[in-house]
Parts: sequence; C-alpha cells; structure tokens
Amino acid sequence: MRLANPLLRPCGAWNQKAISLAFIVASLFAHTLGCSDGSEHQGSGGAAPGGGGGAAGSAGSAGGSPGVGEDGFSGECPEKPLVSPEARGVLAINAELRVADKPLTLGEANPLAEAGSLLPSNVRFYVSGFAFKSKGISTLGTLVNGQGVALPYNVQLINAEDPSSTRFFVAVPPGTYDEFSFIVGVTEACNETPGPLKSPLHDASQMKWPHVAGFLFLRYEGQRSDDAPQDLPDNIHMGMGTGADRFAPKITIAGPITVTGERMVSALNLVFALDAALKAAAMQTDLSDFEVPFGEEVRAGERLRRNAKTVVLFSRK
Amino acid sequence: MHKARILRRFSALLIALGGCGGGDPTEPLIAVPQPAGFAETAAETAPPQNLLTESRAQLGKRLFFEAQLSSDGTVSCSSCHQQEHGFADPRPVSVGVEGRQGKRNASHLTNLAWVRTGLFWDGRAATLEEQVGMPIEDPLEMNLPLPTAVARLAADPSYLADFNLAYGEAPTVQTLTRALASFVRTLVSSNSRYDKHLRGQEQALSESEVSGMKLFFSKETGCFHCHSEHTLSNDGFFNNGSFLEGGDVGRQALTGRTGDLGKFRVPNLRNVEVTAPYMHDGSLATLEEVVEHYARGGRGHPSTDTQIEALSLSAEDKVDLVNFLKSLTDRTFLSDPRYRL
Repeated sequence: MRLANPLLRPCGAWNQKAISLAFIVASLFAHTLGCSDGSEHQGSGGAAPGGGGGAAGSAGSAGGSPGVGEDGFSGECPEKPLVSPEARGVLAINAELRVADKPLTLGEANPLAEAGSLLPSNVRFYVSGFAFKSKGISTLGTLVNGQGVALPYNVQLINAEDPSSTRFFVAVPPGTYDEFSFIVGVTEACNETPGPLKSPLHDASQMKWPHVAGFLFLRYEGQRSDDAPQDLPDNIHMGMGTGADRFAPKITIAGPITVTGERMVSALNLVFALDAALKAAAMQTDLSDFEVPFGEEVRAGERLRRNAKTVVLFSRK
Repeated sequence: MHKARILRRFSALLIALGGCGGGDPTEPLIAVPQPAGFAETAAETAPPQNLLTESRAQLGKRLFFEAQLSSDGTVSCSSCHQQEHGFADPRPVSVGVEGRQGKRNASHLTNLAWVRTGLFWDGRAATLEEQVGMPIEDPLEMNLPLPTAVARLAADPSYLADFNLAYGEAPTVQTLTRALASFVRTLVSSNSRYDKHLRGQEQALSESEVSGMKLFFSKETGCFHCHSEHTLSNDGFFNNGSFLEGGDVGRQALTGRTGDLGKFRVPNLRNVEVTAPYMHDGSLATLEEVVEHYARGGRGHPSTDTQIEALSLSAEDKVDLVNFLKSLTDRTFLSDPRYRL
C-alpha cells in the first residue's frame, strides 16, 4: 500500500538552485540555533547562560539557582546542564583501569600482586561532581563532550568494555588548582530523580536499581582464581548507603593542576586500581546499620563505599 | 532535541521544495507507542540517515514478508519471525532455504529499536540496519547475496515506486536494509498487563502476578540483575548457565575473550509467554523449565556468571514467577493488523 505524496517532484535544474539557496538559509538558521544555548566551548563566544562558577544549572531556568542537596551538590539533575561562560578551560582526563598496577584486561586473567588472578567480566562506574579547589575556593566543573556540549546529567559512565568511555573532558575556568575532587557515583539529586532518564542513567547502563529511583555507583563482576585471596568478592554492586554519610565516595586528587583556556586542552591521567576496590570491599566493616533487601554483592559494595578513603582507589599518573 | 526537530522539519521542507528526495524524509516522522519507562520514542532512536517515516516502515513491512529475498524464493523474514509468537520462531532453531537448519533460536523482534549494545545473541550487529541484512545473506537462512536481492527488487516496477517514495531512489543494498530496519523499529510492544501496572493501573496484575513480580525484582532471585524494570533487559551479555562444554561459545566467538565464553545477549522478556522455546539454543520448552533452570543455578559450567546461583523457591514461588512472566504478554501487539500485509 503506497501513500500519495504530492510534495515529491523529480529533480531539475531550477530545483538545484532552490536547494543551494535553501541550504544557505538553513546554515544561517542552524548557526543561530547552535549559538543560543551557550554550550559551545572552545573560545566560540557563545551566549552566556545563567549561574556562575561553572555550577551545573537547571536547564530552562537560566537566571535561577538550584537548591543544594544534603550531599553538597545541586539539588537538581538536569538532562542538559549549563556550561558557565567562565569555564573556558578543558581538562581531558584519561582514566586507566588497572589491576596490580598493570592495565586491566577485561575478560582475561589479570594477575594480582599477592597471588592468583582476577578475571573481570564487568567493570563500570559513574564519575561526577567534579570540583577544583584553589586557595580554599572550590569551583565546580562540568563534564562536556569534545565539542564542549555538557554531558547529560553531568555524569560520565566509565565502562571497561567501552574504551572510549575512559577518556572524558571537564570544563572549568582556566587556572592552577591545588587539587580537584569528584565522586564515584552520582549526586543525591540524580540518584533520586525518577525515570525514565536517558543515557547514561538508563536501563541499558546496567546500573539501575529495580523499583526505586537510584543507581549503582559501581558495578564489578568477575571471578577470582583458586589461588587468589578468597576473601575478595566476585561481585560488587555499590550504591548509596544509609544514614547521614550515605553518599557516593569522594575522591580527592592533589595538584597542582593547571588548566589552560581558550582552545587549549590540558590533560591528566587518572589511574583506577580495581584490586584496591576489591580489597576495600573485603575489609571487615560493621554493617549492622545497613539493612537492605539485596544480596552479598550489595554488602560488598557498601564495604567499598565506606572504606574507599582507606585505599588508593584513584591516583594521578 | 527540540532544536534538532526544528532542523529536521526545516530540512524536510527544503527537500520537499527542492523536489530531490535524497536522504531526508519528505513525510512526517511517524509516531510509535513509547513504552512506560522508556526515555525515547522508537522514532527518536532512528539514525539521522534513516529517519522513520510511514513509507519507509510500509516498504520495510512489504520486504519483511518478501520470499524473493531468499535464494529459492521460499523463505522470508516472516517465516522465522512470526507475529503470533512475538515475532520469534516456535522451533528450537530456524529452518532456512532447502530445509537447512540454523544454529540458534531466532530471537523475537520486540522493542529492538532501543538496543544499543549489539544485536543477535552475540551482539555482532551494531545497528538494526546492519542486522537485518545478515539473515538474508546467511547460507543457512535466506542464502541470497544482498546485491542479488536488490537486483530482484529493481526488476519489479512496484518496488521501484515504493523505494522511490521512501528513499527517493531505486533500491540499493543500503535502502533495502534501511527499510527493513524501519519496519522492525515500529515493532513496539507496550500494552501488556505489566505495562499497565507500570503506568499506574493498580488492578492490572493479579495477586499471584504481583507476588511473582516482587520475587523477580528481589535479591532472592536476582532476575533484575539482567532483566531491568522497564526494558526487561539491560542489553548486556551474560552467561546465564545455559552453556555446556563444547557448545555454542556465544559472544566469545566475536571478542575472543576468555571471560566471554558462553555469554549471550539478555533478551527482553516482553511477550515471553509466546516466544518459546527459550535460551540461545531453544533448549527449554516452557517457562516452567526456565524457572527450574534458574532454580538449579544453571547447568553448572564453571564459566557461568557468579550471580547465577541455586535459588530457594517454593512451588508457589515458581507458579507466581511464571504468572508474572505471562503478564508481560501484549495481545494487542500480537494481533495488530498493521504488522500484516
């Protein structure tokens, strides 16, 4: 069954000229649309959205300031965060996933320092909440793509099965910072935002809890060899904990970190030590206040979350 | 997204004025139901070079039922993907031209528009456009090189007209696969009792189905680790214990990784009641057998995912689980005349 389409005409010379003119007009129109959200980054001089200090704002409320959650981050989780006009610097972060200080090989045996090996089959975690501190003053960064457009929800999912996910960019005002920090996971606001949400906070992220708003912050699945330390967990599903200190673990990386601006990209290599994560997840920890309707992998995740500061999960290379 | 829509509409208008059909559609993008909990419509999942239009979907449907896309003219896509079975095959493995036996159970085609991690049991096709052409060329299935398929279509004036309407040109390998992908993109199931429950209709599920649902999403079964709440698949690849030594290695054949031995794509479970038999090899005939498979902790091969463990399920638990799975059946979808010629 065919649909009649009265708009179809065969191509001809006059049509070619019409198309040329039309595309010129379309290009001008597209440029106008593209510059209006202030999301271009590399010194393009895009229009300035509301808010300052690189704080992720609420899409559609250019002049307002969102509330602050109990975790100290914005009380909102916008699908399209705003990039502050001051955030003309870009820090490109290359995350290296390692086991016993060697590059992680997904799906293969990775030797451990003590004995035995790990065979990781699923390694993924969120990073977000980037903040840069200089002389005691903290400035939030915004995760952006290579074109300077803010990433959805200001969240990056690092997935060992997707090498492209280990390189990401943070927009921040140029300067030299004493340290920067981020969280392994999502903010409280994002964790509590009801769905459906888009990538990377969607079902196919493999990070979605069932029936309640909320996400895994880190998901590890694998097998240890028979001669590996047997207290290391096979599975770690880390999410939000309970109580006042329930949020995603915060990682601080010492500087100095210099972020130049105006079309220059500064680079930083960040190492994630999977074996350190497993050790943290295996530590003796009082979980008497952690009663959740999920299995041992979640308890391992909570041990990791509580012990993250006692191991070197991330380091600067 | 709003700006992208404006640009697409404007481009469509330009193309219409210019009269050269080319890549952009000249019709409105069609609306397809969006299941509860899905953040995008099916149309929004379409790639820019194959935006979803009525004429493309209609052409794709015609091709879906076209046996001339097989070497001996006897097999079409619909031969193995039958609507009353959720567009799956009721045989353990499919039968292609000349009675050739396939290697795996034909997957259902429901809600594939949203899959981003690779199609087929092993994920070897990155997109729908890539996937739809492979069975046509597979020697065990339709056994017809795509250029030959195109030549056959080009010899038919009615196909020439349909392709020109949909894509502004005569059939090519690209437009053939794009049209088929467009049709598959419209195969959206969103009206099961579970979907109604997700939309807030409290009475949509029976007491047993609710019990089964709670069990499904509990730590006692852990089904949710792979079969997420809304899409009923996290689109990952896992070894669910269906692998046996010497059997189909699944995703490992694609990646070469030791850890991918016996991993297969997690299918979404919509209409699972009618998509029997189950697993990549069609080895489980009923939902009851599937529940027993998981209750046992799979077949026991060491490569089995460590999240697959023996479960403590009562007889009533098993009945409730099966009843919940049956609540995923969307009779409207299974009988929708728009999916037939």
